[in-house]
Amino acid sequence: MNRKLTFLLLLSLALFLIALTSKNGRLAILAVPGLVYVFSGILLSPTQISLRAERQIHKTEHSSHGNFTQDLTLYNQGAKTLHLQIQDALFPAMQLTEGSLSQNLLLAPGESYTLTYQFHFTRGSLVWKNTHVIVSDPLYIYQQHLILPALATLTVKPAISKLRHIPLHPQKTLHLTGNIPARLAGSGTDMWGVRQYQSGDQLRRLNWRKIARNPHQLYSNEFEQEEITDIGLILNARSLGHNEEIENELLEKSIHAVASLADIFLHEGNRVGLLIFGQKLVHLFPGYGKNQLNKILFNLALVEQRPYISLNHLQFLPFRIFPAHAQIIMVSAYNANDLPAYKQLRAYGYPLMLLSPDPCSIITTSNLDFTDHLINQAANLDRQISLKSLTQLGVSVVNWPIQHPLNSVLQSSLRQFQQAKSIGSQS
Amino acid sequence: MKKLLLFTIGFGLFAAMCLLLSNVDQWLIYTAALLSIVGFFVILNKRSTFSVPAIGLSFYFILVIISFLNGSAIHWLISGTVAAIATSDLIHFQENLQSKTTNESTKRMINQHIFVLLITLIFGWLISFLALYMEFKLPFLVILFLCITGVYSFFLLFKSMKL
Repeated sequence: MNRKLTFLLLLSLALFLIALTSKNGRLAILAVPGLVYVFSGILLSPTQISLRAERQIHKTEHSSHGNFTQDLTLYNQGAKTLHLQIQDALFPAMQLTEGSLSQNLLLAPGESYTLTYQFHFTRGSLVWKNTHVIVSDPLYIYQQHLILPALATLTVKPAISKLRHIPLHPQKTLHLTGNIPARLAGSGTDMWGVRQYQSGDQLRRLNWRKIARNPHQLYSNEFEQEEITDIGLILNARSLGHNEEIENELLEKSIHAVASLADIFLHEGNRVGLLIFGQKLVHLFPGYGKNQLNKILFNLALVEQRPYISLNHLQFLPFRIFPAHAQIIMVSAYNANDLPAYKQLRAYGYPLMLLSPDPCSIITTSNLDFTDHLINQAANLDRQISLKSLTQLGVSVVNWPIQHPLNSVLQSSLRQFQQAKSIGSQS
Repeated sequence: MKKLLLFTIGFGLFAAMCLLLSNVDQWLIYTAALLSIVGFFVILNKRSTFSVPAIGLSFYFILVIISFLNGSAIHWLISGTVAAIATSDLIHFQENLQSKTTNESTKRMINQHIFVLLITLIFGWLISFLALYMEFKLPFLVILFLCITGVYSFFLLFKSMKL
């Protein structure tokens, strides 16, 4: 019941009661204007309401990722002019950027009105089922609350950064042409070796220097075969229960990284699978192409931060969704308790790379007092030691201070791995 | 919006004037009371948790009752009550409009609101004056019947409002 209506009725009743107690009929007359006002509002309120609502969501033109415009249109299909108040609601993850969610309007029969507002929503899935409309009389005394069906869904996939080629060197490749060195001689671009000429070899592959040194023999150059490989992406979406803000930021960065990695690997023709490890498990069998990318992005869009579960549960996970010797790329803010699980993964024989967004890098040291600064330094050191122990297991660790772009961090880390490998092979 | 503001101020002044004219001898007391209402109004307006028009109207009604019991002229009091209801309604309407964005139908809405409000209050004013001058006696059973019908009508009305 409307507050205004209640208040006026109570006021009129109070006047009547005072008139009764004072035995003065003329005093009751003072309540008449108020009562007429109330009853006229009730009489003028519409009885047969025929309203229809429609909702449309589209990307805001000339704007960045995650900006959307919503058009909520109301149609008056009845025979009377209606006084309406639209009161649409925002989901907690949405941010209103322009426009208003509520609107007063007068809608004549056959007329329609579109309430337009813009909002920002970075990632996830939203389902609108209805909208709230208040129909009232011209004096706003008697209000009827209507819930009109207005269906709409919105799934925002995570943003993707275009990454440069990531030079992987897996032990096994799939025998289909790609751009990952297959450790086999074949038709590639990188020099592999020199062998004796065989009939059918192209003349442009002849190694003239070697032939000059051995005039009675013919030699051909061999190149390293380039093929595609199996890649398994694992996203750690667990909440460690420390700081919600930091964990959310880490999760968003991790999702962004997985999406970007999936994009580049699938673009290069590789077979990519996905495992999301949160409170529940989501896994996608390895696949190729844009369809697989869409599936991965869709699943990433729905990821939410979940309470802590030990990564030791990995031993029960369906790891065989990734083919044997597939290159596993784990995106996780590393926790020292997870070490046994990484050991087990290595024991399965998977080449493992850990891309670890650094939680310590989020904290701005300039705002910290001396104690907090020391705590942050200690946490940083602890993390460095933990990551070092992973490196000793043969895991390629990419420590990602999240202020830096993923592309440059990945490229510089991979360059370091290659240098370390070449030094190791020379010694 | 300017039109609304003008109507609000006009009705407010008229309500105050009616109260003062109802008992010219005690105009000083009523002026002080009205000024205190305005003061309260200004203070409360800064705190959005209070319903300013409702509190203002309640104060006005209290003044009207006191004035009536002190033997003021009821004609002025009825006119003042009508004007006070109009002022309260218009303030409420303005608050409602300010909390939401305006569109092309807002002007139409304001015009219609003022029109309906004027018609309603004139009607209320006429009925009140009619009740003031018309007197007739009814048998007890008819009054009882009217009372029961009235109570039942209220019951049906509140039921239809899904109370």
